[in-house]
This record gives sequence, C-alpha cells and structure tokens, in this order.
Amino acid sequence: MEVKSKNGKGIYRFNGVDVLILLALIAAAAAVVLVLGLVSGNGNDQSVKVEYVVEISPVRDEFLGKIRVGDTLIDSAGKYNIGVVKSVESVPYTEELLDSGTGEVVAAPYPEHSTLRVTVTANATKNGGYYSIGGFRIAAGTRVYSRFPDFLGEGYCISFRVIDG
Amino acid sequence: MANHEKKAGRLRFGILDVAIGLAVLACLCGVVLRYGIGGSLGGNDKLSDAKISFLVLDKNRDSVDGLTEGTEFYLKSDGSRIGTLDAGLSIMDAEVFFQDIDGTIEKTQSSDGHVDVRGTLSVSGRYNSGEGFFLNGRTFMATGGKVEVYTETCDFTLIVTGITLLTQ
Repeated sequence: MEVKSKNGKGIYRFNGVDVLILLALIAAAAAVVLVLGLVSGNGNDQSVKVEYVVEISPVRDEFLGKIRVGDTLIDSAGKYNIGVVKSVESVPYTEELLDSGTGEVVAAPYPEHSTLRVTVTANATKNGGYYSIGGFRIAAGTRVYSRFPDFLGEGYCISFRVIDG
Repeated sequence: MANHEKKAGRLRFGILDVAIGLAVLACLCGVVLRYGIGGSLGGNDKLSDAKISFLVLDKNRDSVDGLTEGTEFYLKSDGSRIGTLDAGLSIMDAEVFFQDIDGTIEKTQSSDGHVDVRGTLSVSGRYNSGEGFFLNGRTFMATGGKVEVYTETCDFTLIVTGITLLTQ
C-alpha cells in the first residue's frame, strides 16, 4: 500500500518490515492473553466446586503448624492460585522396610518426620475431559509444588472429587 | 513553501508509529510486571528487617569452615545477595537414619566427619499474611523451602526452618 501526497510523491509505503512489526505485535498480544489466562476455553467450560487432598512428605516435625486453614495454595511452578486450605492433617511418615526377623514388609515410622495431608477447596472448570483450576490441570496423581504463605513443599494430589456442580 | 510541505510530510504520525508506541509500552509493562516495580511505584516497597533460620544437611566438616559471622550469602539462581550470617552458628554431627535389625528406623549421628549446620541470616524482605515473605521484595521464601546458595567459599542447599520479622 502506498499513500501519496498532493504532489504525487509517495510518502508512506507498507513494506515487509511493517508486516514483521505487526506480526510481532500480534504475537506479543497473544502471549499476554495466554499468560493472563484471558481465554477461558471454547465456551463448553463447566464450572464446579472441587475438593482435593495434597499429600506432602516427608516433612520435618519442626515444620508442622505452618499451614493454616484459610491459607491460599499456589502452585509455585506456574504461580497458579489453586485453592484455599480447608483442613490439615499430619500423620507419622513411614517407609516400607523388610523385617528380616519375619520376612514381612512393614511400614516403619521415620523418626521426627511426618506426612501432611492438606485438604483444599477451589472452583474448577471442566473442559476437554479434565479439570483445571485457574489454568492448572489437576487430578489425583498430579504433582503439586505447594506454596502456602508460610510453608513450601512438594507433594501429590492423592484424591480429587467434585463437591458441587 | 514546498520545503515547508516536505517537512510537514516527514513528521506525519502514522498507524505504524502508534503500533511501535504500543509495542514500547507493552515492553515497559513487561519489565514492570517481571521485576515487581509496580509494587514499588505504589509505595509497597518498604522492606523489613528479618531473620531467616536455616538448616544445612550432611556437609563435609571442612567445607563449612568458611562460615563465620558476617559471611555474605547469595542466591545461586540469580546471584542476588540474601543477607549475612549471624553469630551463633551451630555445627553438629550429621543426622543419620538407619534400619535396625527389627525393621524399625532409628536416628543416630554421623561418625564420618559429616555435619549438619544450623544458623541464622539477617535479611531484608517484604511480608504480608496473605502472601508470605519475599526476600528483598522479590524472591518468595517460606519454612520448608530448599534454597541453593553460595558464599565465597561454599556452595550448598539450605532448608529454611523459620522466618522472623524484626521490623514491620
């Protein structure tokens, strides 16, 4: 495209560099949309309330009590806000060992360490056969890099259920 | 007159100028978001003094000789300064867990020169109860977190065992 001035001379020509600039802008805008999660899906999203349990272990006993009911859980890998703590349970951390006396495998308590089971509630969307919370896909078995305001730890989602929706 | 028209044409503000201007603005926004400058522009940049207590597991005793009061700690991830080591470093034989003959797990102390280290760092950061503690206003830290750090003489991974705010 060429815009001409009154005297007929070209003063503006749309060239390859302009195309590149526009493509770069479109790419940047698309990236912003993706990063900010402005696209919520294809319109078939189903909003539901879910409850899931994240198991974090082993946790040193000196760290117990750092997760509180009402804390926000963030997946520290992707910075997704993935729910609010409903309850926290700690049980002794065990490892399976062979008892050489009986020949049986036993769950042996590991001194000064616990397993934390954190129940979390969140609003999720179902789309394409899976659930996601704010863009974070979750199901039983999903690894969760758990970030609470006063605690950091790695765990797995060990149970997942829809409670409303 | 012709010269005047020519100059005016040269200064014309076109659609691509707008596009370039928007691109520059987008870049600036990206920088602001990436480095959290938005918070500082909003007056939330006031950092508090704090103490981070830490635990380092299973180090060779000789490797921690260089840790003395005032030693500077740095984040391995970006080289930024964490803070300085306080007095009162505690160095003890490393904890070892082993399986006893009856199938139980027992705790004992290492006897091969490996040590665990507990200490405290004086740091600065920003804290709010909903989000937690951000070292220097940027790097999230919390109890249980494992942080790769280095000093002039030592590389190691520390486990944060507690964070105490000294000033608000």
